[in-house]
Amino acid sequence: MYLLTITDLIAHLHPALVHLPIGILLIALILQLLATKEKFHSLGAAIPIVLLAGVLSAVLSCITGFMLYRSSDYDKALVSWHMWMALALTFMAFALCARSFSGRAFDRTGKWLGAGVLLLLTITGHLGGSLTHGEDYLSGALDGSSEGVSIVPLVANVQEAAVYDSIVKPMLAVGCYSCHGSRKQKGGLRLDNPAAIAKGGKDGIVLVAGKADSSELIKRMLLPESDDHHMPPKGHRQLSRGQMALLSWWIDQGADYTKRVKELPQPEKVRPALLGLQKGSGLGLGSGSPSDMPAVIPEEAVEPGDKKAIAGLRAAGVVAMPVAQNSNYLMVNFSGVRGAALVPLLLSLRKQLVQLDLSGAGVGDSAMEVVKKCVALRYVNLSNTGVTDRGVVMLGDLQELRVLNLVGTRVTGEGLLSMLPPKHLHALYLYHTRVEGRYWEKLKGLFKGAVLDSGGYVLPKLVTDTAVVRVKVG
Amino acid sequence: MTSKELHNQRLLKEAEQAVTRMYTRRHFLQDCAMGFGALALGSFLQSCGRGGSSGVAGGSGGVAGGAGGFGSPAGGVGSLAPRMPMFPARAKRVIYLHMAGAPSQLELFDYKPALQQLDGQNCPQSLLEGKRFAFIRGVPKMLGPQAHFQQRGESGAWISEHMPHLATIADELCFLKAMTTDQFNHAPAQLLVQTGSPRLGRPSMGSWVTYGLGTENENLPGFVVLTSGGKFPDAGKSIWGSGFLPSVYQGVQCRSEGDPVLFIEDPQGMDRDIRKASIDAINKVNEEEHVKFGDPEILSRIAQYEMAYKMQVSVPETMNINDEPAYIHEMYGTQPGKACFANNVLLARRLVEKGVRFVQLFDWGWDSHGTEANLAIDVGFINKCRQVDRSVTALILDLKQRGLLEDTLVIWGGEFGRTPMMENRDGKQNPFKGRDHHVDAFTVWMAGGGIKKGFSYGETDEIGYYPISGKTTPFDLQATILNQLGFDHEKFTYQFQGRPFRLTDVFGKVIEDIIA
Repeated sequence: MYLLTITDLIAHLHPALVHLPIGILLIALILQLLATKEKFHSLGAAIPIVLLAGVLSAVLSCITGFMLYRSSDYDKALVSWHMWMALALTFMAFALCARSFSGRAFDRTGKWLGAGVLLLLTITGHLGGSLTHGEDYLSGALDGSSEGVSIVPLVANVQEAAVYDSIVKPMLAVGCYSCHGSRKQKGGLRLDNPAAIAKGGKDGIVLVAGKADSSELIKRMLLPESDDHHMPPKGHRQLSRGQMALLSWWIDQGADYTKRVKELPQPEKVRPALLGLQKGSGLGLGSGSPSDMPAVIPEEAVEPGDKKAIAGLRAAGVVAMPVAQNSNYLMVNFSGVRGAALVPLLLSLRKQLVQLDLSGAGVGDSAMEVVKKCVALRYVNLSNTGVTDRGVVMLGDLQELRVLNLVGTRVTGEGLLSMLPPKHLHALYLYHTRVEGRYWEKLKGLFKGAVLDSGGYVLPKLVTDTAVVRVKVG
Repeated sequence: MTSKELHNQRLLKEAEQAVTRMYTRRHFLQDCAMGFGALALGSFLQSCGRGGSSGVAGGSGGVAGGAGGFGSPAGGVGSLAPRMPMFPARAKRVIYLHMAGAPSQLELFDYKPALQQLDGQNCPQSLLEGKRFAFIRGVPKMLGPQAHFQQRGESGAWISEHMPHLATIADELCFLKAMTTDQFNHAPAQLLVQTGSPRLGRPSMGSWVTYGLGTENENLPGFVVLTSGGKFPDAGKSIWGSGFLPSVYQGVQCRSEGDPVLFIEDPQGMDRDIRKASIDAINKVNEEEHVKFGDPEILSRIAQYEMAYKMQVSVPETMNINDEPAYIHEMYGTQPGKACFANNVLLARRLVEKGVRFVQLFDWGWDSHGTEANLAIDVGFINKCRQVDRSVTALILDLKQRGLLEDTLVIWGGEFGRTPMMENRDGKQNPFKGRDHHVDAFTVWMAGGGIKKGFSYGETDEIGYYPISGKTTPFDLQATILNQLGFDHEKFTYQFQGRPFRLTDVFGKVIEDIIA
């Protein structure tokens, strides 16, 4: 940490000070406009003094701005535009001020000058904003690109991806370039090319190849967000833990700019993060936003479900609602309502229905005629229903199914073997069914990739269950 | 005048006084301005019925379709109707097993062989400087692990001999081994874990969850609390209170012995029809009160009367564990007829099966200071472990075989950890081996609900004193629980006293690394 000199301190006041001329000059312009009306004519008397205050504050801003310009490292082109526009603004405001003192603020020239001041004020202000917040600050808010989307573009095969170009660079681009890129080099640091990264900033190098823990780049990111030295600064977009793990891994492996992922050793720690970069893995690196959630609902959008059917189900006490706010996909839970007659209502919701809980709803195989048509279903709970083999075979149509609960049904091993196994099935619950042990191996072979749970767990009796430890006497 | 008439008169008077208390200056001025007009209007409109009281949906089945923005007191607040989460949820229900008193991580999950080497030696000054302990004074001695550890399952998690059953399901669990807190006394620490603030007055996690999601079973409360009998948690009932949320969301404490809820039976000579009629009458009066005063707590009261009426049937039925088959009782190691943890664990499974959102279990007796045999790390603590080991293991396996672990999140833990030093209360040796409260490191485990299986997150140093990686806080845990239920903890708020409040205050980060 170095001490700020007094000129530095004054220079740093510039970003605060500039708001004075903006506000004061705007007030003057509003007064100028209003005073042309008969009703507000008396306001005209205030204009000269307000303008004078505005001009004085503009001069002060120009001085501090020039000092900041000399001591900082902003994008040169942008900063000189800002400076010349500010100077022009000051002169024009001064001209208007001088006119108003001689009572000529309302003639044709006066009005033109006013319009000019407004225009220059806007341009100068915008340029200043671009300097401090980055040029994409406004446009970013418009297209929403600053949040929510995955930073690193997903690749088809992560092992083939170039570590720096496909993984590290996109992260640096989003997290760092706005202050440490081609336009601006805060702290003298630039991170958008290998040579500049190696050079470091004015406080020294930021990256020690092979030692992520000693690299300033990583250390700064690991500081608590509230720390003044934390990077990216508070309020800017942060890297997730997975992303930081990948960055540290790249540095630990020598910070190479050409290698592919498969050429580097991959410790257990970074594997999930790497896998998350692969398309269709369902894992994400983001911050738990809906798009990063594992595939609970399909990715493509769907139109809203039939309102009448939903209302019909609700009227009978069935819980039927979207799986989430802003989603049209539905979950329906009969929550024990015995409603075989309600099942046909599901037909008009077949595109939207992703979760269906019919446990204890008193339905049987005939209900499966309807269920099998709801091909978007991912979670189906049929526990303690009258479903038998005939119904289960029909469920083979539900190829999107992830979880199938058949606990407490009369389904047998034969029945399951004649079912077309859903492609993505990951859990099949068969506790209290009539599936016999001899079918187990065959079923495991058929439902590859799914966990089959037969239940019936028994805990052994242990001495410790009942024995009590007491203090040894003596 | 008979005594009965006198009694009635007194009741009437009391009611009148209660009304007078609600009558503010504002009402008086309003009445002055409009009273006469209203008198006339009242007689005109008598036949029109009460159109204004439509907000009194209570728990009467209407699904509040759009819960809208959280934080606005409109949109089904005060009702227990099911509501959708912010984004698709991985968990629909939560069972939180809180071991009040704080179990020692150093005898259960956080294996520190290096601590054994230091056993009996004086604690280095560097660990004591600037520290404040609840009871340790002066220089305490180090205390090595008082248990044998083994790596369990494919995941290789260290679990001690004290939990032999749990050790067999290590691959179902996810350990947070570097939990920290900043409260070293039980009550504030419990409040912090359960309500997100060490001080009284905030809604508990279960209340937040029922506020957000309602309940899928309109005959049962959304948030049920069970205690193991014996001592209550130090923080009292506030740890399942609803704070500033409408009181329909507070935890309903069910007793595991005798009637599950006190006075749940109809009094003698009163049948269910009369009960229904009297509740309807009371609710009607309350609805009129609500129209008059607009106090949302009146709506809560109405909903609670209706809920209580429904619970008269559903609760005794759900809370009766006797209809479970014998092998289930054996699996959980229950002791029917007694108030004990194992019975509550079985009840918890029955409750989530019936659609209760949040089941909160409190066990007690884990405060192993070493001041008496029951609180000794090598006596009472071992017995506590044995009391919960079988039932907790059974719960995980039972949920799993029913397919419920898929979307039920189970959490087991205390409010802080215990020191690697032996407690020396007031500088003197305690009669038994014990450990003091430790805020810097403790272990909590989770299972199911979209959390990674067979995974450990976070590490402590070689004596288990400070976290060295993967440090987490109660706020992070709360954020993660809400995330699994489909809520962004930063956006899930309630407007109170002019500002939006959230469970995690201004802290907390979802522990992404443990999400499957």
